[in-house]
Amino acid sequence: MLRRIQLSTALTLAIASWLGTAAATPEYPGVIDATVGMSCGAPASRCLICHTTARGGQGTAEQPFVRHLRTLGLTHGHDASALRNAINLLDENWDSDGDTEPDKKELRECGNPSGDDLGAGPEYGCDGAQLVTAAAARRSSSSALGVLALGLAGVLVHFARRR
Amino acid sequence: MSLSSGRAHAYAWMIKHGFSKCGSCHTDPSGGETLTAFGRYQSEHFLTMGGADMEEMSNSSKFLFGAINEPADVNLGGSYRHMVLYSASVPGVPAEWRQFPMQLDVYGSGRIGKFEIGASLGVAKGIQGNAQVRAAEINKEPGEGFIVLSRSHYIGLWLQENTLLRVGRLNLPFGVRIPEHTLWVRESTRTDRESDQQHGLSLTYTGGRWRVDSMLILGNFQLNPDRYRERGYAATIEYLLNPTLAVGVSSLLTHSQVDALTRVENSIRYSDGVLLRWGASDKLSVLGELDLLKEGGRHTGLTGFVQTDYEPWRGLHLMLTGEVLDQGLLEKPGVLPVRGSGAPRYGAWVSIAWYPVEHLELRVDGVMHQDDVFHGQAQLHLYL
Repeated sequence: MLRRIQLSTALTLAIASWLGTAAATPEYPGVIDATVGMSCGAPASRCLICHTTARGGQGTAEQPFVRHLRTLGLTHGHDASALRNAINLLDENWDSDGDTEPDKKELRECGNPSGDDLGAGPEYGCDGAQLVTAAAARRSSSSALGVLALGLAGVLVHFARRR
Repeated sequence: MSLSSGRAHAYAWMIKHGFSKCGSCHTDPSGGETLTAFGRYQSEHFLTMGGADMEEMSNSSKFLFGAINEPADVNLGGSYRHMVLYSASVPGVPAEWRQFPMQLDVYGSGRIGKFEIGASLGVAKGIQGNAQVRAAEINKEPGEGFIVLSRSHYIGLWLQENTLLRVGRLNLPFGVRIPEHTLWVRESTRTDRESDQQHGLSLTYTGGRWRVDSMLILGNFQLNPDRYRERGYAATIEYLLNPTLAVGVSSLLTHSQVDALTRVENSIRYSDGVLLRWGASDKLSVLGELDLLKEGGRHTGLTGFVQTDYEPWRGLHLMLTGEVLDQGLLEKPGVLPVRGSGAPRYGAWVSIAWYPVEHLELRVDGVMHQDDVFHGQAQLHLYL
């Protein structure tokens, strides 16, 4: 009985911690935006500015723009300050992809200095399915998940104790 | 991303106990997610610490601790995973700690006569920019709100006692079905159980010493528009040399008008490989896989892993995993080989998994990859 209660307590604590989950950690698209003074969002397609796949990953940072940034000191991942410094060192007229548009100008226009503009890319979710508007989701998501998680925990605690 | 996603359990190392056929313990004949009643009994008997002395399944091993008796031919389950990640520092950058719920899914399956139906449903939150978990998204949440996921859903028909035909969104039959979805073999072949499932038609045969799992891939219909969907096939054939040694081959070939991840147009992607599952003793198992890789815009590459799992006491697993990845050199002029792209990149995992009581797994991993900082992972996994 004791270990079942301990298990349920652990579950309650774990799920309750969801409510305190920190916001998204800073990612490179956000660092780029902050450095050039833009706000372009962080769709997965923006990973392709530096990576050859939208999933990212260390061995996939092979796009022309990031290959040039390597010469400016960006030699590894997980280093926002190195990315910021490399962009600051970037020559205003440098054009990594040879499309006649300088890299910095493309970044300021939410473009892609490594090639063709990325556009929105694929959409996820079943076509036409949207439970709530994005704004409403932001307002309600934490509370809805909290209620769901705590409800689940409550059910488990109840039955674990009963047994 | 405050929430990526994880997977439920499929323990390929169970072969060391003579459970070579995944369908003994899972309703999916190739393993993963929903447990059968026999699987629940075995999880208490062979998975959990101290469970070896039990002769009958206790209520605590059943779904929801036995609070609800599932109807005959219905199996239900669920998983909650919480992850704590540590990334070591590099000069000028402090170490980083993150924690997030990785998975909250419920799943189940039922059989009505010769028909089988199964599905999973989960939620995730704050995944903007994450190309992984989004592939299983049902609703269209563009930002950082919460999304509803269905990783798998299918209807099936048992053509014979050991032959199942299914249509729906299914795990791709390729390689060793392991829970480590970020292992390079699963990421680079896009065959993890996190969100790489695709819609299609599947035929699974598990008779005698053979397990044959094949799938006609029609595309992920939770991804739009159609030009990003992959079509092709995936298949694994596994042969049991003896009750604790299985060898197999896998093959995958897909085509998409535009690759959803790389944006390469008219993209053909294929992988072919071999796999091994070996229960060397009742305490030691070895899993391995080696795959050839070819994806649009790259030359041929390879990936593989070997994992040894030593279980000194029932329920405590000490694991050592080695992996390699060369995605293939980019087909662009002037691109030189670097580790992971045109040259092999190596990595290692040191892991401890502990199953102290029924429904609970605690796991820590130390992940070391060439050209990357050390990552530590601590995971709490509760399953219904």
